[in-house]
Amino acid sequence: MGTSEALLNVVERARKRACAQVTLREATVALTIALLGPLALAVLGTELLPAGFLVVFVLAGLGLGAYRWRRRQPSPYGVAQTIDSAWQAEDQISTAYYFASHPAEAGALTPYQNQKAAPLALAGDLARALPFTLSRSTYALGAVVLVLAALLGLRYGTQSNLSLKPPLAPFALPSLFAAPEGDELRRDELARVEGKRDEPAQSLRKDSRLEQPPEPLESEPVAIPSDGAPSGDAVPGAEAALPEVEGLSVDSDFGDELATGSGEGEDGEGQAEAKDASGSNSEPGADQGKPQDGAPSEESNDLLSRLQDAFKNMLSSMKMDPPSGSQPGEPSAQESGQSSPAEGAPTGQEAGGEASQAGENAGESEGSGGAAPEAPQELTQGESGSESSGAPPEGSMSSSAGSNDGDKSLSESAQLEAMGELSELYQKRAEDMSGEVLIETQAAPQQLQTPYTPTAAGHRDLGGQVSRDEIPFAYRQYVQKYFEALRQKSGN
Amino acid sequence: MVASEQFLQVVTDQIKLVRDEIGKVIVGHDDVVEGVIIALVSGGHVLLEGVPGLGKTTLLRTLGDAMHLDYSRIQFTPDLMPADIIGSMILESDSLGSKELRFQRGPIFAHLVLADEINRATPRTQSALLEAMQERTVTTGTTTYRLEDPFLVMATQNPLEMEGTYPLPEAQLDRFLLKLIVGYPTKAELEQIVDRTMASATPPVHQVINQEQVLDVRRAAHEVLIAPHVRDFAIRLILATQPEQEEAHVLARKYIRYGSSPRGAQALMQAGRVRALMRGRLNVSIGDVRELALPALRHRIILNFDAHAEGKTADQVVAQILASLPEGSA
Repeated sequence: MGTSEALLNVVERARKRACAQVTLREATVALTIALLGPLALAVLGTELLPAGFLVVFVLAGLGLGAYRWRRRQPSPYGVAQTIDSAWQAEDQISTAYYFASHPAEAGALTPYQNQKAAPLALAGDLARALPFTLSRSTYALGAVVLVLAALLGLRYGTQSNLSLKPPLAPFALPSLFAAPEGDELRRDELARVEGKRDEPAQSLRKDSRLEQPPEPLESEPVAIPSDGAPSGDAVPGAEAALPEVEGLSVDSDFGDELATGSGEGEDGEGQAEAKDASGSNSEPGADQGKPQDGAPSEESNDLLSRLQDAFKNMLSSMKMDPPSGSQPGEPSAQESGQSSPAEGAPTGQEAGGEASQAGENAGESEGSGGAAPEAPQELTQGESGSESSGAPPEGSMSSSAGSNDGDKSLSESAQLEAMGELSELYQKRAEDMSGEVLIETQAAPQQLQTPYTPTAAGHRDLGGQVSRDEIPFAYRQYVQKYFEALRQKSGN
Repeated sequence: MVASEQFLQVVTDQIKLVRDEIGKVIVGHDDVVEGVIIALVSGGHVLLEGVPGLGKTTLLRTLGDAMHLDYSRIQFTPDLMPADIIGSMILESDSLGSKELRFQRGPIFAHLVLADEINRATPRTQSALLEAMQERTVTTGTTTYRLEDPFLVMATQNPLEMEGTYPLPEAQLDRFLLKLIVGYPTKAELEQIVDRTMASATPPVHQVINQEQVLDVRRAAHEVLIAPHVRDFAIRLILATQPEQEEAHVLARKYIRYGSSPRGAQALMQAGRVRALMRGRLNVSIGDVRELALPALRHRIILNFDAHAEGKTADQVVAQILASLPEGSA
C-alpha cells in the first residue's frame, strides 16, 4: 500500500467514526423530540391531547434529526483537519490528504509530504482524535426520560393505574376562553336590543338625514343653514324617531310626549316628579357613562326648571289631577331611577318588565331614565321590555291614561291640534330663519345625538357645553309658543 | 528543482546551522533571529524596533559572517542624502589623463544592509532606500543597477527619541515583510551577555552557508505546500482586520482605521513557508500563520483614535482577533 492510499484509508476510517458520532448525536436529538410527545401525553392525557399527536412528535424528531444529520456530515478533509488538531500534527495530514486527493494541485514536494504524513496518520490513535463523548443532546434526552418516568410514577401514584386518559392535573381550559356570566347576560340583552332596534331603524331610513351617522360634536360653530331645511323637515321626522334615537333620555321622553301626546294630563305631575328624580339620578350617571359630556351647566338646569314649570303650568291649566293608577308606578320608577349606573341595564329592563306586567306604563320611561350609563340601549330596552310582554302600543297609551280613559280622546285631539300649529310655526320660522348659531362646547371630544340638532352642524371649541336635556337655542321660542298655544287652547 | 528528501534535509540543517552560529554571538532573541532569517530567505525586509544596545547591529553582522554575505551599515541622520545611500557619479581620471564619470556604488549595494534609525533621515532619503528595497534596483542618471540577491534591509527605529524624527509613512512601512520588536533580555540572558563581554576572546563565527545555498533554500521554500484551509485562515485573518469588510472583526470596527493590505496575506504565506521549512515541515500550518501574524501585521494596521485613547496597541488588537478567529475547514 502506498503512502497516499494509507493516508486516504486512515482518513476514511476517521470519517466513518465521525459519521457514527454524528449519527448517534442526532439520534439522541430525534429521540428527545419524539419523547416530548409521551411527555405531553402524560401531562394532558388522551382526553385533551389525542394519541395521534405522538406521531407528530415522532415525525418532527425524525425530520429534524435527519436534517441535522445531513447537514453535519463531516467531509474527509474536515476530518483530516480534526485529526491534525487532535494529534498536533501541524496540518501535515490534512495537507497531505488534500494534495493526495487533488493530484492536479500537487506540487513537487507532495510525495515527500505524503511520506512524512503517512507514518503520523498510521501511528495515531483515532479514538483519541475522535472520542465518543456525551453530547448535550444526550443530557437533554436523559432529562426528558427522567421527567417522563416521574410523570408516569406520579400518575400511577394518584390513579393507581397507568391509564393515560385523564389529564394529570385538571385543566379548566373552556373557562379560560368563556365569558363571565354577566357578560353572557349582557350579550343576550344586546342581541335582543339589536333585534328590536332593527325595526325602528327601518322607519328611520325613510328620513335621509337621519340615515346619516350622527356626527361627533366637533369644536366648530354650529351653522344652521338659512334655508331652514333642518328645522322644517327634521322635526317631524325626528319626533317620529325620537324613541329610537340613541343618546337622548329626557329629550326622547319629551319627544314621546310630543309625538303621542299620551299621559301628560293623567300622570304628568307624577311624571314630572319622576323626571326630577330621574334627572337628578340619571344625569350623574350619564356623566359617568359619557364623561365628555361634563356636568350640566346652570343654563341647562335653568332650562330644565323652565320646562318643568311649563309642564306644571300646562297641567294646571288643563286642571287634570294625576291618576291614582299611576301612583304604584312611581316608586318603581324611582327605584329604578335611583339604581346604580352599573346596574342600569338590568334594572331598566326589570323596571320595564314590571311596568308592563302591572299595566303601568309610567315606569317605562323612568326606568329608562335611570339607566344612565347605557342610556341609548336602556331606552330601547325599557321599551322592549314592555313591548315584549305583548302589550300593543295602544294598550300602553291607554294604560298610561289609567282611570281617565274617557278624557284621553279630548286631550289627544287637543294635542294633535297643537302639534299642527307647532308644525306650522316650524315651517314659518324655517322660511324666515337665517344666520348662524354658536354653541359653546367643552374642549373634550363629545358626541351630541339629538333630533333637534342638524347633522351637518359643527361646534366651535369655546369652553362651553351642551346638555342633552337642553333645547337648542333656535328652538326655544317655538317650544314656548307651543305651550302658549296649548294654554290658549285649554283656556278656550 | 532539487526536490528530494535529501536536499530538503540539507536545507533544514543549513538553516539550523545558521541559527546556531548566530547564537554564538547573540544571546536570546530567538524570535528576532528567526524573523531575520525568515525575511532573508523569503526575500523580504525587516524592521526592528527597540532601544539601543540590544544587539541589532551585531545580529546583522553575525548573520553576514555566517552566510558569507556583504554587510553594510548606514546611520541615518537628518542631513543624509539619497546619494549617500545609493551612490553618486564621480569624475575619475585614468592613467592616460582622460577623465570620465563613474558611478560610485553606495552602501545599498550589499546583501545585508543595516539602516540604523531610519526614521531620522528625511523622507527623501528614506524614499531612496525604500525604492531600492521594493524594486531591488538603483537608478542613477540613465543607468539602472540591479541589486544582488539575497538582499535584505534591516531597518531599525528607536521608539524613545521621537523628537526630530520622520516617522515612516504607512505605505513605506508596508514594504517591510516583518516588524520585529526587540525587547530587553532576561536575567539569565543578561548574565550570559556580561560573561561573554568579559571573556578574553569572542567566539569566532564560521561561514556555514554561502550565497548560492541561501538562494537554494529560498527556492525550496517556494515549494512548501499550503493547504486550502490554511490559506483560507490567513485570508480570513486579513479580512478580519479591515473594518470596512463584511468579515471584519468587531474589534477591527472599533479600533482599526485602516486594516492590513494584501501584502499582509502575502507576507503570511511567504514567511509561513520559510518557518515551516526551518522546522522540517513541507507544509504551512495554521500554527505558522498564528505565530507570524503579529510580526507580519502589526505595522500594517493603523489604529484609530479610540484605540489610542484606550491605550490599545496593534499587537493587542491583532492578538484578540487571532484568538477569536475559528479554524474552520476551507
